[in-house]
Parts: sequence; structure tokens; C-alpha cells
Amino acid sequence: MKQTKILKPLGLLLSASLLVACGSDDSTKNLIPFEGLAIVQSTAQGESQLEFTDGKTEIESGYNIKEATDYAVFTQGEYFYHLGRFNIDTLQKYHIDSPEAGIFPNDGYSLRDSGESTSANPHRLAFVGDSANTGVITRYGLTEAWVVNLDATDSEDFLIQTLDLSNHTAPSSETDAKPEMSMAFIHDEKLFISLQNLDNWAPTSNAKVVVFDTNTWEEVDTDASTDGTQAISLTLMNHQSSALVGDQLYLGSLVYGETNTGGIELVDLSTYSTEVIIDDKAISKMAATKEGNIFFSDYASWENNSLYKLNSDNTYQLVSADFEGINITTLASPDMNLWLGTNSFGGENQVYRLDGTLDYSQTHEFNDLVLSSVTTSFKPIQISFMD
Amino acid sequence: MKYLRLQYICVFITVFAIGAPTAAQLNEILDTVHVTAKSEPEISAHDFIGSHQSINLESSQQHFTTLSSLLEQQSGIEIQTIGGLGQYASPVIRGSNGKQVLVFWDGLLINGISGSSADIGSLGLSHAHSLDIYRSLAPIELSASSVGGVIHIKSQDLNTSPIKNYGAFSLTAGSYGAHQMSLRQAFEHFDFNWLVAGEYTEAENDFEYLEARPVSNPNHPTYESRHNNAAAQYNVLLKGQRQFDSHQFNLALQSNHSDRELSAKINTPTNQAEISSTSNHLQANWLIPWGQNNRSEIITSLEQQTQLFDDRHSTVGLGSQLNEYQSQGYKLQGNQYFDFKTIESVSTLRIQSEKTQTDYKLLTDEEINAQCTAGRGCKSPYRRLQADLGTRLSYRKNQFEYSLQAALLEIQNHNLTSDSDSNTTHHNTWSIGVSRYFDSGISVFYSFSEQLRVPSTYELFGDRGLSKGNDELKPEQALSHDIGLRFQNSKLEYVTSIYLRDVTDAIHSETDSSGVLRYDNLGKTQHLGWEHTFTYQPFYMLSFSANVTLQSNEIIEDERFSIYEGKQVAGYSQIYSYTELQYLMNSWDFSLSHTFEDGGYYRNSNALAKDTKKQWNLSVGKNLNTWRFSLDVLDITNNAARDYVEYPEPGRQIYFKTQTKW
Repeated sequence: MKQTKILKPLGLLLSASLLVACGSDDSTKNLIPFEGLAIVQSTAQGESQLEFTDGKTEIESGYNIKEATDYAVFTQGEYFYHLGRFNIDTLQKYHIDSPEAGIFPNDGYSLRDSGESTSANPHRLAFVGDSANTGVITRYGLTEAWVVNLDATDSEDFLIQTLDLSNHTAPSSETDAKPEMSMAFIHDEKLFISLQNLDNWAPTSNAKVVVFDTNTWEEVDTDASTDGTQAISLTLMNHQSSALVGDQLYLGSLVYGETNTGGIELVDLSTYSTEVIIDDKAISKMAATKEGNIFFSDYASWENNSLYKLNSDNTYQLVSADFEGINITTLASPDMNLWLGTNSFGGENQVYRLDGTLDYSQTHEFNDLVLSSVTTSFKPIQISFMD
Repeated sequence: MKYLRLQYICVFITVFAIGAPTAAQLNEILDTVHVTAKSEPEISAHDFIGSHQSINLESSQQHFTTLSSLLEQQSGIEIQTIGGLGQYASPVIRGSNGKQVLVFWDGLLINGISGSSADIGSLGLSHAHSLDIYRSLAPIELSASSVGGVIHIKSQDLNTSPIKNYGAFSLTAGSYGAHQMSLRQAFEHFDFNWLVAGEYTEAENDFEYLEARPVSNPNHPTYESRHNNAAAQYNVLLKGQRQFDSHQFNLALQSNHSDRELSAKINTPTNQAEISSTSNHLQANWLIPWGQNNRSEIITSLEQQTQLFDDRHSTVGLGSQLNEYQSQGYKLQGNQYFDFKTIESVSTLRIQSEKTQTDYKLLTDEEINAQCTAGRGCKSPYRRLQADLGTRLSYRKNQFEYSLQAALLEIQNHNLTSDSDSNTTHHNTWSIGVSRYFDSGISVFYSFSEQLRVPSTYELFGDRGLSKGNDELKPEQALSHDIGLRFQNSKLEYVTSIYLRDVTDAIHSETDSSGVLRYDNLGKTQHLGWEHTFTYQPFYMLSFSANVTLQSNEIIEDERFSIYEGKQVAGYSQIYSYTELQYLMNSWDFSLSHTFEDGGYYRNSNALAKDTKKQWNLSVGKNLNTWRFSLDVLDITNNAARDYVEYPEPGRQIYFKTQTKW
């Protein structure tokens, strides 16, 4: 990583030798010297990086710095994957012991096929099974999801097969004929892909969840009473966040408007039934702890989010007045606790570890809630945890 | 040729060839013109104290050149382009950003009072006569405030009565499908002196570059041509002046049109996105002398601009769009000049208005309303009304000169679809300066100023669906010191200046948790630099010039990313220079120049250094009777340094230009 010396005093300007005051440190960062590792995808003004932290005291920043912000990170076993989204269309693989040495050639494998001139805009990478060598990538900008070989050593071996979702833009007619596939989940040897089905970027009532068998990659009919292979129809629109607890998939909906609307829709992955459990909040982020506690943040307006706990009776409770009306940039959970990204406290970019085991029938004070925090260089927008 | 019309260009070309000038006239035409100052009767770069410069463009027009490349040859100025002749280019002066630099053409503000960045890529130079550069301040006659300096392009002054008929024609062909034709004619008719000038430029800009993810095989980087990067544009100027007994009346009509293809991050021939821009300006000016020492000037102008953004196939990433952005504006200005021996003053009262609106041609009213409430761009028109009152006083005594300039501004922003969305703000700006002239040819100056940049209407109300508005934005404030020295004798000229500018309440964009972008006052920056301009002409045939700028543009405070503090603001080089050696031999002239830019970064974290620009250029010219032929080879070594990391640059280019005057 390059380090810059700033030409501060005017006297320095006299010396041409200091005109380009750059030093370089060519040594590659190879070791992350702590355990309980989380990888934070963070962004700033036109750039992004990965930061490694235990969420308590340790943080290592400055990895995989990119001149773009639309990246996401996914972890599996000892590897993590850096996904380049809109107009980037790449997937690169790293081993945790060499977090800057990409395993795939160049900047990673392209997620556009040869001859394809539209950005694939990949959104999610879901891992199929425990072998960690098969993944599913949702391609938001196109009509087919990709099943890929994550151990491929050549681009020719990377794509295993495609999953065509183009027929799921019906019954609503769309100007772009793209289903806007977004999130992907693996459960009980089935793949679940959520479709936003936007129409010229406007949400429609045609949001769905499509189901595939991960053994045959054949689409699963979720409604035997209707002719043809049917997806799960959703009631709410523009689902952007999720939490998976057992076979219960919670999908958060956010529809921008003069007053933002949305809610939480529950999908039973065994029966394919759905239920709107909250419809009076626009949902921005969601996360579930290992114990099954579900937290979410709403989207009242620009940088105006509040943290809530979803109760077992599908009501919700404000977690803390200190986490009300702030900018919540990400939610995630590796265990029983909740990790929250924000830049609302003292202007610092921070990741907080919150105690997820408290009794959330009432609000809590900041100090009762926060277990620890670390400060990130850039704004944390996504957190993924190493196993 | 008194009744010249543009459609008669072909006939005109034939006529001028017959009426070729004499050799004596030719010598006058082709004389070397120095890039130094001479006083102008009206607004001049030397009417007040500071780092200002006036460039006579006649020598620049001897070769193929663009406004961007000419400005980049000056100390303190960098140009940020997105690659290719006629494509977007924005000037930055002393580390300012594009919105902070004001660009005027014959007194008309190219940025518009809404506060957009000035795009100089579509401005032609053929009918420009001189260029004034104000690096720190704006003269009150042009603007009541300037945080990032002013560039004032001026056409030929018609202040000759009666004017003699003269004209010029040029034709250029160059690399990557570049063609340019210009025509200029001055004449007298109906007691008016007239100037009519036009320029047409086109370029395919299909240069080759290394594409990391080619469409043909995204996993194998390869060299390929840049697709959908062409630009075509014309500029027309009609200017008239009539001298009455004691009054003078001036009239000017400017019309510009450009069609630009918009290259996308995915380089594909299927990309058909483009943007068409048309602007028309009408300006009238009335000069009324009051005795020997005083005079009044009344200026009024109307302007209309239309921009059609066409990406119906949704290839540049904002969805399928066919949007027309329109603006209409007017200006009424009065200048009052007084001259009392050692004291001079000018007072200006100016009222300007600009209305902007958007027509989403692909959307129904219902869809537009839905898009608007979702924060992705509204149809609603906005109007900015700006009134300013300012004065500049100069006092000269015993080789000292003192100046003071101060202005009051009132700005009203109004969402025309809502009576409640109107806000009015008041601001003031000032500057003071002192200079001393010595008999040895040395002069020194110091100026100190407080200036501001009012937020643009896009920053306040939202930018075409790209950003959410923030009507609580405060103006950016700049406190500047500027100290300089000039030495000049018959063979040598050296100008140097040191500047320090602190900008507070700097406006940056920021995204929230859902990726919605908004502007806010988020930081402070400090700009420190040392500029040198050196010209040496030991004898008539040989001249050498060099401009060197050393600068630091440091982020002092960033409310969102403290890690940026102490880093360099992205986009600007810490060192840049331009050196040129010219040699004249009989009817030949040769020029070798080098541009160097280094020490910049593409982003504020300073993680990735900007490409170092090391560009060698060669020019050869030959005068033959009434004609002149020139060959320009730009970026000989194919350096192709990028200003923006996403946009490749063309690298080596060759231009052949033929021209004549009469």
C-alpha cells in the first residue's frame, strides 16, 4: 500500500526532490493476526476496500482497495470471494492466509459471457453444500443465474450451467424483460432466488421467489394447483434484505416514496407459503442471530434508520433510543450477537457488536447494549464472517 | 462579401482564394504573437491586482489546438478530460474543482448561474481572439464571486471605425476521424462593423486502448477500439458594433451545438447512448461615455440551452432514458466607470435569472410522479434569481497601486411547483490588493480575498435522478492569499506567484445505507502552490518558455472519512509543467514541447496514483504565399495518461492544418 507524505510547509515546495512525495511499501499483507474473523466491505468516495476485524479490538484495513464502490464479499471455509457488481462483473477468490493474492486469473473470472454487452450486475453468491466448490451467482442485470465451479483454474471450467429466469417476468409486462434476481439462499438441497421484477426501476407487485433443485438444477413447482411451473408469489415489493432462520425466510421490502413503505414478508421454505408480518415500515437491513433473534432497520428517510427487534408474535420493539434515527449501514450476525455498521457516532465509521441475548421487550441503554466496537477506515456496508 | 451567409461558405472559399493577400499582408498575419499581456480598453486581466494573465490566441491558431490543450499549457491550470476530441473537458485552477471555475465567453457565463461545471470540450477556439485567466479572483464586471478562478474567452474586438474587411479560413484533418473547418469574416455594413465566424469539428475518437474485459471475451484482456465515443459540434458567432456620435452599441449572437456519443464502461458497438446540446445566446451592450473620465455600460443578454440525453437502450447504466434538460435565462447588468486621475472605480449592478426543467420523454405523467416521489428525478422546474451589487476601487501613487473589491449577493432559489420551496440567501465577498512597480522591470503584488461558491441548483434540489437534493447546503467559502513577482526585459520574462487558499464547507456527495446519494458540507481543504512562468527569447528566431507549478491540495477535514485527512484531494497533480522550444527559419517554424504531470491520485485515499503524464508534442509549420500549412504530432510516445481511471485517452495523434487569411 502506498503512503503519501503531504507537502505541507511552503519550504518543501522549494525542493523538487519532494515534489512527488510518495513512498511505497511493496510487502504484501499476508497474515491476519487474530481469530474470530469478520471481513467488512467498506466504501468511501468512489472507492472501496476490505477490512478484517474481530469486532472487539483488532482491525486490519487497506485490503483489496478498488476504484469503485459496488463490491460485495462472501466467505466459505478458508476462502473469501470478492464480487464486483454493476459494470464490474467479476468474481475473485482469496485464501485467508493470502488476502491480497487473487487465485483466479487477472482480476477474477468475468460474470459476463462472451459477446454479452450488458452488465451482469451480480448481486449474491450462495454456496451449494459443504464442499465449497459450487456456487450460485444471481445476475441482476440479466435473465440467467450462473452455477459456477469455485475451484476452476481456467475460465472455460468456471461456468457449470445457467438457470433461466426470463419466464418469471410474467404476468406483469416489463420494459426490460429482466426479472432483477437479487438474493439467493440454499436450504434443504434447494436454491431460492428472490426476484424484484422492477419495471423501469419502479417496483411492481410481481416480486417472486423461484426455487430450484440443487441436484438436478430443475426448477421446482411451488404451486401444484396451477398449471405450469410456478414460483412463490410475494405480496410486498422490492425486497432488498433478508434473514434466514431454519426454514423460515424473512424478506425485507423497501419502496421509496414521499413516505417510504414496505414491510417484512415471511416465506416458509418447506411449504412455500407466504405471510406479510409487518407492513408499516420500509425495511433497509435485516439479520438473524444463531439463536433465531431477528433484527432489522427501517428506512424513514436519508440516513434516518432505527434498529428494531422482531418479536415472536411478529410485533417489533425499538432496540435502543441511541440506535434510533441514525445511519445504519449494515447488519450481520455470526453467532448470538448482532453486528451493526454506522457512521453516526462522532462521525466515525464503526462496527458495533451488540448483545443479541438481552430481553428485548424494552429498549436498552447504549452501554448495556454495546459489547465492543471497532473503527473502520471506510464506511462499512457489508460484513461476512469466516467459519 | 458584405452579405455573407453561412450557407454560402463554398462560394466564399472560392472568392477568398481569388482575392489572396499580398506577401506583406502575409507577414503581418504570421508574425509571432507573444503570450503576454497588453491592456484592453474594457475588462482586462490587468485591471486589478492578482495572478492574472492575458493570452493573445493568434499564435495558437497557427497550429491545430484546442482550448483544453492551450489552457493546460499555463501554470496553475489542469484539464480533466474523458478522452477524445470534442468530449467532456473541465478546467481546474489551483486545485479547484470544476464547479468552482467560472468560464465566460464574451462575458456570458458558460456554467450558467445554476452552478454547473463548465464543459470546455465543446468550445471552439477559431473565432476566439484572446483569453483572460484570473487564477484567484473574478473582476466584478464578470462575477461577484469566484472560488476557483475565471477563464474568459473573448472574440475579436470590433472597436475600429470603419472596420477593414478581413477574414480567415482553416481546414484540419487528424487522427481518429478528426476534421475541423473554420471560417471568419469581418466587414462593415449599415454603419455597423460586423464579425461572422463559424467552426465545425467532428471526431470519431475510436482510438485503441487495452480493454481489461472486452465484450468478445471478457476473460482475456486485449487492445480494441473505443466504441461510441464520437463528437461533432459547431459554433457560430455573429457580432456587430455601431459607433454613434458618442455612444457605442454592440450586439452578439452565439449559437453552439454538439452531439456526443457516450462511451460506457462496457466497451461495445451496441452502445448508442448520446447527448445533444444546443445553446443560443443573444447579448446587447451599450456604452455611454460621460465626459472624459466616466462612462456607463448597460449589458443585457438572453440565453437558452437544451440538452437531450438519449440512452433508450439503457447502456450507460441509468435505465432506459430519453430526457430533455432545458434552461432559459436572462441577465441585466449596469457598469459605471469613474476615473479621477489616481483613482479609478467601477460599480456593477447585475440581475440574473435562470430556470431549469426536465422533460422525461419516455415516461407518462403517472410514471414521472412515481419516479419523483421515489427520489429518482422530478419534472418540476427550478429557478434561481441572483442579484449582486459590487464595486472595485483602485488607487495609484508613487509606483504603488492599491485595490479593493467588494460585492453583495442575494440569491433566491425557487421550486416553481411549490410555493413553499423557496429560499433566499445573502452573501458578501471582498478582496484587497497592493502592488509595487520598480523601474528595474520588477513588479510585486499581494492580494487577500474571501470568496464563495453558492451550491448549484442540482446540489440543492437533486440532480436528474442521480442525487437527492439538500436544501440546507451552505456555500463553500474560500479565504485566499496570493503573492507574486514579475520581471521583464527585452529578452526575458519571469513571473512567479505563491498562493494559499483555505476552503471551508466544501461540498461533497455521500451515499446512505440504500445507496441514495446526497450532497453535504463535509470538509475543509487547503491549497498551497508555487507557480513559475519563464519566457526567454535570445534572438528573433529562437524562443523558450516554461511553466512549472508545484502544489499541494490537502484535505484538512473530512467529516465522513477522517482517514482522508492529510491526504491529497483526488484528481490533481502535485507537479506539472509545460516547456516549449520554438525555432523560426525563413518561412518554416518548428516547435517541440513537453507536458509533465505527476503526483496525483485517482481517489482521496491516495491509494492509486494517477498516471504520470509525459507527453511530447512536435509542430512544424510552413508559410507559402497566402497559405499556411502545419503538422502537429501530439503525444509522440503514446503516453495516453488518464485523467479519470475509467476513461482511456487517445494517445498519439497527428493533425494536418491548412489555413489562409485575407
